[in-house]
Amino acid sequence: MDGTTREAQISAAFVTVAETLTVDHDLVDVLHTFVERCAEIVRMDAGGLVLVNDAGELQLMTSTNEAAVMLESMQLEAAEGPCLDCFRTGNAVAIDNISASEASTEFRAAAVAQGFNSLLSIPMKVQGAVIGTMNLFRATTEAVSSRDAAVAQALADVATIGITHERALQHAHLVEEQLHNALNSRIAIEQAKGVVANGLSLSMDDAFALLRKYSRDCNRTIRTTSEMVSRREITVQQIVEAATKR
Amino acid sequence: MLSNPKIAGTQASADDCLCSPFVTALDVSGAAISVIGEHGNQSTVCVSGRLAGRLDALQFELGEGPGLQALTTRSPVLCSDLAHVSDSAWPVFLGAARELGVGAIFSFPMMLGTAVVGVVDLITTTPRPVDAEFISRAQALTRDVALTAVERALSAAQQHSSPESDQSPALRREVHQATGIIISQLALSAPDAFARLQAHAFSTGRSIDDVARDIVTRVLEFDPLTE
Repeated sequence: MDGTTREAQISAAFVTVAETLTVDHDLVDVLHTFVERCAEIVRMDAGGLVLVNDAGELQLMTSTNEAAVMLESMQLEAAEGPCLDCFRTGNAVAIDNISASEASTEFRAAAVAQGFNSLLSIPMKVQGAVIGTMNLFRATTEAVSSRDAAVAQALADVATIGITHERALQHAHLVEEQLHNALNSRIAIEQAKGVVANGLSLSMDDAFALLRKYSRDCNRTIRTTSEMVSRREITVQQIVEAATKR
Repeated sequence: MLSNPKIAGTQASADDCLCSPFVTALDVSGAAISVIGEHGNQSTVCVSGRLAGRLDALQFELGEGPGLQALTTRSPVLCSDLAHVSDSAWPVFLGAARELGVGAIFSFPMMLGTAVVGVVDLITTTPRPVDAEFISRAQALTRDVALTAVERALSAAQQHSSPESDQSPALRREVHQATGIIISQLALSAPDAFARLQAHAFSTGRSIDDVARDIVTRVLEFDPLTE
């Protein structure tokens, strides 16, 4: 590969990651393309990416082929293997000949069965904390050059920023949605209390108790009932009738 | 019931008040922090001082003001000298704020990620020129307070009754109850009933909270025949 092509490829990989910083994208799609490009750049044959999920467990996010899925899943299930070593130590792991390596017998057998003989596992770190690893596999036995390892690490670092950003955004949207729900619900309930209190000459507390009883009897949330009351879709009379029937 | 702003203000510990970092670090007379709902429903999370509280309520009552402008435009609104503002997007608020003795007002949108979740209003009683440092410090403080402000509003909104004070989120329960009463009395939609409440407060020169309380306590009634 000549220098120009390689540079163009690296730029393209960076652009892929930068896409995560824009609005419309699917993170898994972006990561898939990203791992494919990284594998190409450092001349590996397959790869995958594992990340810590909200529950604190490592999860396989994407793999470029089925053989890589098998080898990564095998490590996640066994809770051991070079990719997990990379995750636990936060240091890159490069193995140029898997059969002759110190990895467990199970891992060596699995790797060879999937047709992989060398690997590079790169930690994804945010402020010292490892949030996952990018794992690249090669069919042949071959040493990973320190230059390739450095390029892979740089790409992984950028991807990590994208992932962290994405997660923060998702969290922010979740919080915003909760806020809107809570405020809308509160407003609807207070308005419905006013409607019921006025219509039946009740105190606000008694109006609320009646709304709650009616909602329970009808198997509705108090918010739904309240919205219907404040939109005048159900009348106070209907609420009273339902309450006296039971 | 809203407690007396002065008493509530002195009773709250410094840790409790989300406004105090603004007042201390930026040397302003008062601050108000609100969160915003889906349809622009504003809920006050914290105010420092009576004047800031009144200005915050005023924007809610009038449906206009620098805070609401900051929310819409997603950028700070900076008025260093209210006496020399012309061609304002909020003429009624401007007049009322001048009358209350406000010299300058600065509003900063509060963001979580890309979402605008609220606004911080800062006021001074005298004109106050500001520089880039003031703005960037105010923005940093706004960022710092955003999540806590939202969390406070969330937890208050999820409780069926909670006391409202200057240091706790004023969800304006009585205003929404009064809106419900007007829905019932005049057979109006909720937005129209709220508009009626706003109009009554504005035309009588009273705060919307006061009018709402009169409606809830049946001191004031809307009669469909005379309306």
